[in-house]
Amino acid sequence: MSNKPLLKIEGLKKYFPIESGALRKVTGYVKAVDDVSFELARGEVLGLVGESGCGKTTLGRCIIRAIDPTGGAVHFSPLDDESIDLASADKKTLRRNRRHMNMVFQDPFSSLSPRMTVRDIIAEPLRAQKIPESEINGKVERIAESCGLNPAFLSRYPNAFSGGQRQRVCIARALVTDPVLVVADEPVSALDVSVQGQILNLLQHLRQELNLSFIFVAHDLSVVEHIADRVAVMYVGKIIELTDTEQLYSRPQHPYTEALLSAVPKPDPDLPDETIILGGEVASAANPPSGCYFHPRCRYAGEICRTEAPTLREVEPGHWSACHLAESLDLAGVVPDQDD
Amino acid sequence: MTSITIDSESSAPQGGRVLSRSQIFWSKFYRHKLAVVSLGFILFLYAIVLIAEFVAPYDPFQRHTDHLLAPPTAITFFDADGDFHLRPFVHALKNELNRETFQREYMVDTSVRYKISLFVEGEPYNLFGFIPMDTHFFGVEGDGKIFLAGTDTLGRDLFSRMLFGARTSLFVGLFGLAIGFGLGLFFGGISGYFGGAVDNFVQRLTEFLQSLPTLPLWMALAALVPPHWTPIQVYFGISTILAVVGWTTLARVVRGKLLSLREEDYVMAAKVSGVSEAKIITNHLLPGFMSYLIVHLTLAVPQMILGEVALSFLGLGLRPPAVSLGTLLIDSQNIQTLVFSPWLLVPGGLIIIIVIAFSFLGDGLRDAADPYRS
Ligand SMILES: Nc1ncnc2c1ncn2[C@@H]1O[C@H](COP(=O)(O)OP(=O)(O)OP(=O)(O)O)[C@@H](O)[C@H]1O
Ligand code: SF4
Ligand SMILES: [Mg+2]
Repeated sequence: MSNKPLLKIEGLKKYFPIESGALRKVTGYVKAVDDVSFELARGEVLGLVGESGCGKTTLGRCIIRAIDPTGGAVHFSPLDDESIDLASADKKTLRRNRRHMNMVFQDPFSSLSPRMTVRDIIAEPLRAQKIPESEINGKVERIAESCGLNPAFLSRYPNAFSGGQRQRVCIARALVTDPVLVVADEPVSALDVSVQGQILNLLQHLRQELNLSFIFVAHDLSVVEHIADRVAVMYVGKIIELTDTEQLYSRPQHPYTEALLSAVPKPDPDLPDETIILGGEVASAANPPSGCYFHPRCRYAGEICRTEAPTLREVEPGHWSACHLAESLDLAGVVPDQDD
Repeated sequence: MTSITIDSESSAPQGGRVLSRSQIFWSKFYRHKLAVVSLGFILFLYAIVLIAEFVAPYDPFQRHTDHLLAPPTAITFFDADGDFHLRPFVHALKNELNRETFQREYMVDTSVRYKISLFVEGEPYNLFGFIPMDTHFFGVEGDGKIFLAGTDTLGRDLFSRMLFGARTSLFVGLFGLAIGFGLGLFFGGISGYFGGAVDNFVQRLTEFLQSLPTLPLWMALAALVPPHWTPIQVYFGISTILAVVGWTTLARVVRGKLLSLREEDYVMAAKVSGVSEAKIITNHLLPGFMSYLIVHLTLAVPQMILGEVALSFLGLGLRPPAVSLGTLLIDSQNIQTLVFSPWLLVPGGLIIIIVIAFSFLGDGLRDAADPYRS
């Protein structure tokens, strides 16, 4: 297997025009995703976290071309040899490659058609790929079983299933074509806490069994802690920190990450338990502040932060941060450094 | 395959037997008794108005000059002596002057009996316009008369006229609906599908049309119908008018449904699974609002009927001699005749029953079509 990353995202952008007045004049843009670049290795799970509205869903959808990005490139290499740019691929290329990637949605109720049986729902991606009808049933039943669904109930409609079961159906649909990449957009946040753990375990298990790569969206850090290899933190359309999960939890290099971490329940009672209350509003993607977007809420902000926008740079090997002062700050994590 | 713990939460969905969608639809629908009855009534009504020439005992324009403003004929099994007869019959009517009130009144002459028969010979007619026949479904023998709903000022049988009038009104509804449905689907469709400037234009247009008060708008449009038009031309003119005014609601519904369905996650799931646009439209978008269309259509028919009735009643729509439920009601505009001949209101009762039946049917269809949506 080559070392070529599965995904190489370069300068991905998605701007939503703001229209106003009866004539719908475009008066500005919501920069929901603004110049995002990163790589995803084969078999890797990347957690994508950030507050509501920071652009996680939009980024996930742009990557998989559920919506058309405004700019940038998404180089996708499902098979070792070829690489296609999903961001600019034409309809035909895109449809041919759809079987290599899929999506799991946040809401297991609106993501299943109430008018199709669960069997037909799971089979939909296979039919779209023109898989012979004779093979479809076997594939559907196999994946349903892997996802913990009893094949005897496949001829029912989704309304007969609970939220957790529905999410299993969504996962089965996403995996039925043997994809290599799955974008899971907050797959557990709509579920009961007791069911969340079951679904996370299922994803964890399937990931190993099927050697999947995940982009796992979550709005807080506690959900991704156990499933993600690396975590990217987003703020107002940009990735502001990206590194290994362990590294991020123990030694964050961005004040925003530190604040998010301070809200995570502490595993170690010896650590100082201080929740950093973020003052002010989340900056608006339509009208972001000057300099560092985080500066109005940052307790370390200095003069340079108001005027100059920081870029995402590698502050340590494998650790990217978009903070001017990353090297000079000593920020608190939640897990003690692994020096024992 | 590695075993996965099938936990209690995932083992069994609730619910009993597995039903197909159409089974669910019909079982839901049958539970709505009023809707079932209404459906039966509406089908029955459409069937008999199609063969109105056969069902009606008289021609709608035949004048029974001895029986002007005659009350509904009583049908009885017992004669003057209280003897029972197996075949129902009617008595003759005599027109006499009441010496106390000095009004002309109809007196029942119990000495004369006319038996009611099925399949009697009567006025010749062409069934469906081309089958020459002279058999009527029912009638009385000899020179007796039977007026189930009485007669009007010119002595025409109101029951026969109602059948022909209902035919006009029920089909004006359908024809107008087809036009309005086409317009609504088209404008709603392009509005929801293309969005942007097209959507903007259509939205302003519907808002404009909806903000116009209906009655003056009808009047203005009805004034455009040339007076020398034949009843058939007027009929289509009226339908078109009703449709042109009435498509806006449907357009809004279609647009809104398209916009909201496009946003549904399951539509996006289909898209990212590689399902083609055409399949998405036929498998996901159309079924999503098919039920809305059916319900909308059902509920729009009575509006069309009421529209025709209102226009004709005001003298803006069909004009006599054309027969419709609206023109029949013109006779009941005169309070004087109404006091002495209340049966002239019977067509109004029929209109109410038709409108209510369509409403019940629409309710039943709506409940049955989308059982999982509130
Ligand atoms: N179709 C759209 N049209 C216009 N603006 C949009 C659209 N979709 C998203 N946005 C805007 O883009 C920004 C990012 O939205 P997005 O849904 O990606 O956030 P998110 O991080 O997923 O939030 P959440 O945690 O609430 O799901 C928001 O400001 C949102 O208002
Ligand atoms: S650049 Fe400045 S304002 Fe932004 S996070 Fe770093 S310290 Fe805070
Ligand atoms: Mg989201």
